[in-house]
Amino acid sequence: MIDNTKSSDARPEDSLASLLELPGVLAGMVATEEGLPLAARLRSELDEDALAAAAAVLGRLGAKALNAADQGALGLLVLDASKFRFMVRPLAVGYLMVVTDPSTEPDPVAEQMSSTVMELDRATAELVKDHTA
Amino acid sequence: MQQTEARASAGGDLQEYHRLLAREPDSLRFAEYADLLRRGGQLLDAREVCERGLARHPGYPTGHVVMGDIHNDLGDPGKAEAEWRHALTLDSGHPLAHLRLGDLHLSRGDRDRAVAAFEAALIYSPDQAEARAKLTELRGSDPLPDEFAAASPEAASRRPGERPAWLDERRLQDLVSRLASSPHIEEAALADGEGAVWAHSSERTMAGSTGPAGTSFAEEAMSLLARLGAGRLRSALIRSDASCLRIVPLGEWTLLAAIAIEAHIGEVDAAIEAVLADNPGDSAEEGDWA
Repeated sequence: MIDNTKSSDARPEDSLASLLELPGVLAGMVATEEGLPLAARLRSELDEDALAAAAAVLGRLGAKALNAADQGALGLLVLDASKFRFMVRPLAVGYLMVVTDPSTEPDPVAEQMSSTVMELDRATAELVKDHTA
Repeated sequence: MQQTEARASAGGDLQEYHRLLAREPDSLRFAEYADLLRRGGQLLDAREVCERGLARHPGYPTGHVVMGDIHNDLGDPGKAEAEWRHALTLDSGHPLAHLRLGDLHLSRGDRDRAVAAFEAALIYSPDQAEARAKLTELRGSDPLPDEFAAASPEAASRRPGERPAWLDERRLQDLVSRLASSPHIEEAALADGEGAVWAHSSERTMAGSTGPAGTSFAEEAMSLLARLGAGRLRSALIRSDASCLRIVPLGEWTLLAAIAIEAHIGEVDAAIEAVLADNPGDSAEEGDWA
């Protein structure tokens, strides 16, 4: 897990907590590009390791599809399945993934994810700055 | 002439099918033609037509279902089962493939597997009357569970992730044209299982690499969802700062829609579902799809 308590009061788990407050959100996850879990908030019995791996796979798949069609870098990926909805945004350190109930309104979650990405990227930058100082 | 062919395809005139496929050998209607030959007892001709069609369209699940039917009628249930199972690897929700496997299990006296297959057919296609009747018979006095309650064809067609019952090869272009006229959708295209674009509303981006890229994404996403036990892929959205792509699997087809970057996802989905649910009836012009 990221330990950024020295440089900021906000931990990744705290950033994820605001996502879990939204109705229908079942899980929030920060994963590395290799699919390792960095932070997670799980409301249900979802498997943390499996979700982290899925976040990385989905992030790579989305980037690959956009790259093949020459459509720019990945901003957001939403995968609607019959049992869950998976939403993935790239982060400086990997990916932020949120799992929701499939009937949940996606737009408020996507907006909150944008804020969370900014928080997490800011915390990561501070951590790197502290580490290199 | 075209109207005559449309009537022939409905009525099942073998000669008209033969002429149609001679003129358009890439047509997916080889499966209808082969099935018609099979029903008429011309099993070897049916097998030849189906083999030729599948050589051109190996990823067409309905073609494999028909080939399975032909093998079954030829007295080779092993080969039939292999074809039906292959159809399910291409489209895990193909109701006819589930139905055929259910019949096969039943003929082998495997009631439990037959029930599971008929239930799968109903889950993916609630208006599958044959599967419903067989399941009801197998369950005897036990009522069908709520999830298999009868649904109207309209309700079935509203479920993203499946091909609407009305969408046949003639109406592909009609579908993408109507989608592209929706306020939030800039372009639309339909690609087959191999990523080849069969109908598109614009040459701008949809006729290029988007078809193979979108189809490949859908296949890999389905595989991931299966590993996670997350159910079937209904749709996907991939957004960059330059574009936004909606991907919707529709049975053997993949719908690709370029949508306005500022559009709300919910509004786009509502527009897509409305078009998918709206059966254009017989308004589609013959030849639109060719």
